[in-house]
Amino acid sequence: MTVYSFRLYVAGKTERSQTAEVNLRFLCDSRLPGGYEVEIVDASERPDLAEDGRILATPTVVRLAPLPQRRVIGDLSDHGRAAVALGLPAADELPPDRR
Amino acid sequence: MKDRRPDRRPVTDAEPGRAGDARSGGDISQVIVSASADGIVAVDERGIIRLCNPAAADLFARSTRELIGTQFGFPIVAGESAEIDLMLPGGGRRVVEMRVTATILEGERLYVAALRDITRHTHAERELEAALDRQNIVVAIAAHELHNPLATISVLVDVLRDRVAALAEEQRADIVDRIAGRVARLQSLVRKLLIASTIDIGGVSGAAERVPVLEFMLEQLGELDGGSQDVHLSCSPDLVALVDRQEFSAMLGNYLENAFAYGRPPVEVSAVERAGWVEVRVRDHGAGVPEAFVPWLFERFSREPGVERETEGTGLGLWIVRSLARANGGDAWYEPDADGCFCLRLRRGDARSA
Repeated sequence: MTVYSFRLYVAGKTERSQTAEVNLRFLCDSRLPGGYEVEIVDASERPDLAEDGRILATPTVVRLAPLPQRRVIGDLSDHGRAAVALGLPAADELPPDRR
Repeated sequence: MKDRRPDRRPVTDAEPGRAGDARSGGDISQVIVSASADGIVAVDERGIIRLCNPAAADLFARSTRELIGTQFGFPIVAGESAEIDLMLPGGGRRVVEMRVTATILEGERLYVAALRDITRHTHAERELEAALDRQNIVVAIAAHELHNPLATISVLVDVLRDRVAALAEEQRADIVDRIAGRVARLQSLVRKLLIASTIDIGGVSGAAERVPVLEFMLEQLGELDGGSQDVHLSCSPDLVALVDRQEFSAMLGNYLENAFAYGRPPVEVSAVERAGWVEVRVRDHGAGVPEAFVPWLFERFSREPGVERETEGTGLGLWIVRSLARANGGDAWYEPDADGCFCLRLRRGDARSA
């Protein structure tokens, strides 16, 4: 089973940051139930990590696995386009036991 | 800064490091990109920056050369626009509004993010909100503080008008004194509100002149009416301050008013030369300021909670003192010793001053 791994870079505990996290978890729960990991990096607390990840803007979500990496900028409110950009399986592609 | 000089043209990944000459297929896009006041970042399907304009370089605080070829990410906006934070080198951030459109440039699909700096806009909005809040508080304070003395004056005038014949001379004099007291309080309030507005619009003059401190203090005490006998003065006769005279008057006046309103007589006012400054200290014999309130003492609209209902006041006086002192190159502060002491530092205006 492919395990998806995401890192979400946010800047501070703003509404933008919270919206991005809620949307990412919603997408993962609905498209990848049980098969994902999400790590949140607050760039205002860990600017070094943002720099290491060459992050130019927040919120940015990086799909670390499976490769190739993909990154999406924005709060992911447009679930359909965010799912496509992050390469998530469509709802009807989920195996029956994960729907 | 968003500059539209013709030499600030966009750079593409085909010509990194060079202000891009318009290429045949993409020239219109490039003209649009270079003419835009917004930061424009065009990314490919993988989210890599292929094209950006100088305004984008300004927003990211990085050169176009650094940006081209870098992973930005795939920009997605729900609705018309979204706010994102740009991460600046050195840890700073800038809030921008992002709009996204797609275009085909030379057969390749590009996603174009238009970035507009709203940090300054947001800052201006906050300033405006704060100004409106202050305005609302001023109106509320003015309404409250004006209402009580006006109501009292109204009653006293009614008594004088309706019962003047029945009142003894002494009673009439007492009523007139009480009216005068209320009018003085109203005048003081209006004066403070006017000074506060002047400070708000940056209109404090700070037009410094040489003011002999002892002479000035004696003048001020002369205007205190009945309260002057409760003031003990000490000042070196040759002490001269470099300060706007009217503003000095407002500073000392507010300190004295504060001492009489919240402290207990006698009030000691001393002025000395200290470390190249003129230092004025006003000390009363009241209970002092509660420790927890000291940090907010000079804030605008701050009032010690315990005295809120007993004493009339606007919470503007000490803020005015500090604002004017700083506008005149000095400062105002509180020293919480045995009785508590309000201090004022002004530049020296005598020949020995720097």
